[in-house]
Amino acid sequence: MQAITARSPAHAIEVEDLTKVYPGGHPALNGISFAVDRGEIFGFLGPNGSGKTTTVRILVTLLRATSGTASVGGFDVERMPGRIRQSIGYTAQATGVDDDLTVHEHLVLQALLHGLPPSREQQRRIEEVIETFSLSEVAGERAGRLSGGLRRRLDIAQAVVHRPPVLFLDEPTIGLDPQSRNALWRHLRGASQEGTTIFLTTQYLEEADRACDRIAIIDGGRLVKEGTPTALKSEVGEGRLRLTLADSADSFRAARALALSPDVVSVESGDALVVRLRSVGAGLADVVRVLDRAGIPIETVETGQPTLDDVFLRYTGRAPRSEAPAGAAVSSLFAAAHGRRRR
Amino acid sequence: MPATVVLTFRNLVKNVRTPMLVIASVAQPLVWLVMFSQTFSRLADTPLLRGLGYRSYLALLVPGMMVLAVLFTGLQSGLAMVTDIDSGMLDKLRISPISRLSILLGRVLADSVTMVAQGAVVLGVGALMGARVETGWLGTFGMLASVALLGVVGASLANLIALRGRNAELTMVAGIFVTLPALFLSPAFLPLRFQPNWVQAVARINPASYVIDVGQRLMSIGNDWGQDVRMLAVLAVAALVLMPATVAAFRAATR
Repeated sequence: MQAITARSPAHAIEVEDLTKVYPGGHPALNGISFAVDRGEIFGFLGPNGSGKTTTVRILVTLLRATSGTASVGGFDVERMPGRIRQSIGYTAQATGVDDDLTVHEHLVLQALLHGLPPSREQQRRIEEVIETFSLSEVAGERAGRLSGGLRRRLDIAQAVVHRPPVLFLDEPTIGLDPQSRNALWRHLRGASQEGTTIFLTTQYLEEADRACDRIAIIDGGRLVKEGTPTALKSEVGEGRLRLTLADSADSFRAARALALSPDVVSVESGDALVVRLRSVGAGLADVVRVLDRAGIPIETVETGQPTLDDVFLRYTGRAPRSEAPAGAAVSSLFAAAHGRRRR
Repeated sequence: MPATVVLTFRNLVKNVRTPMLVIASVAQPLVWLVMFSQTFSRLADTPLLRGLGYRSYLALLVPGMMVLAVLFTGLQSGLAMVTDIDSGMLDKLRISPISRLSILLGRVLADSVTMVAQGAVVLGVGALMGARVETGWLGTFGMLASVALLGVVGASLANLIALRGRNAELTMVAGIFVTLPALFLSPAFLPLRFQPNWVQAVARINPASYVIDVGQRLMSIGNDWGQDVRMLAVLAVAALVLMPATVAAFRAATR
């Protein structure tokens, strides 16, 4: 049991040995612990059904934990949910939008409910989020007439209009076009620099890699790994090569030859050969030499840092599952990971 | 601004935005009002009826049709709750720093306003067709207030079913299952003394029956304080039974 420190807690979010068993006995969380610092963008990464949403819903006081403790802004979720509600914004996976109200009315409603009375200040903030999320053209439009992407943007705008110190976003980028994603990330960066703590969940590794200060990987209700994207990636190996061979029939032979090289950490053969190296510098020359000696012609070589795909694969034993990836937002490597799994 | 006021306003704005919902629940009673008063006029507009104090069969029908309108609106209140649960709006409200009860109160207040408006429309159409409230403005006020009270009790039941079942179809079916018998086991279409004994017996425990009876007295027969008090007592009992259950269901849903 930790003490309640209401005034200036060390962490914006603290979770200690949290478990959740749903009625019917389905265990969603099997004892997870982590802490998020003030002003940090913390990414919760995991496949469907891994416990991401359950964790968020416990933290925003919508769901009760079975055991363990959790606090937001120093307030315990079980004992002081009212205080937590004064300091959070939240978007769920299902957008909380009322078809009958206009975009502008939604924002006024949220501002009022979160204690921002009708004032110049309220107007200014509403105009600001309308601008940020490019909603000005539809501000007078009823939400029922908006496209999925616009509803999503409205929902996020609702969550930030009262400038909560702690923001919870459950898969905020699903259904957003690349432009809106970029606008969202810019906004979140700015908010984080002003001290807003942001807790988000995502299935998109590339996104978490670019946007988050720290990441936790959750799988089957357990936290399997936590750290900065850079640290996690460097644990997997320093460098990564992607080779395509002139004749793909050679790929198995090539993989076997490369696996023997001391610089190579792992090799996967699929549409292309993905080679993880201890270091790109020495390794690249080595890989080319080995294949040359084996008489296997190389068609293309791409070098790159390991991605969170690799991290995910390493710690959960499989590639991240996802819905149909939304176009440009998904890296080719992500798609490659899926391609590999299908074989 | 108190959250209850904000949410009452939000719910009313919703009603104005989808006027079809409000109109639909008042259109049916109006259609019935016109239909029944025409088709049954020769059969029912008899010296026998007038001997009981009714001005006309139309005057007898009006209070029952007001009750039908508010019960439909009560049913819609439950449906709106299911919509709020499904759309994630309820969650949005739950994570706001507002009292849980203000969410429920905002709904009840908006419902009451809508119900009074609908009751007034039915009364107005009745007046246009020639059935005036004989007890004047005070009687009109009494009729509107009592049907709105009954409507709130009905809304409480619909919300209870909505919160426990979280299913629009279930709420709809259960609502209609309650609404129509509540109407038919009452003097809505025929004075109770012309109805079988068992109907009279059931009507004694039917809150809608009391509201309709009081409405009919205010409409044409003349006020009866004793009956007014009995109606209020029955409504109070119904509210005391239902509302705690609804609030408990709401608390369970919103913790």
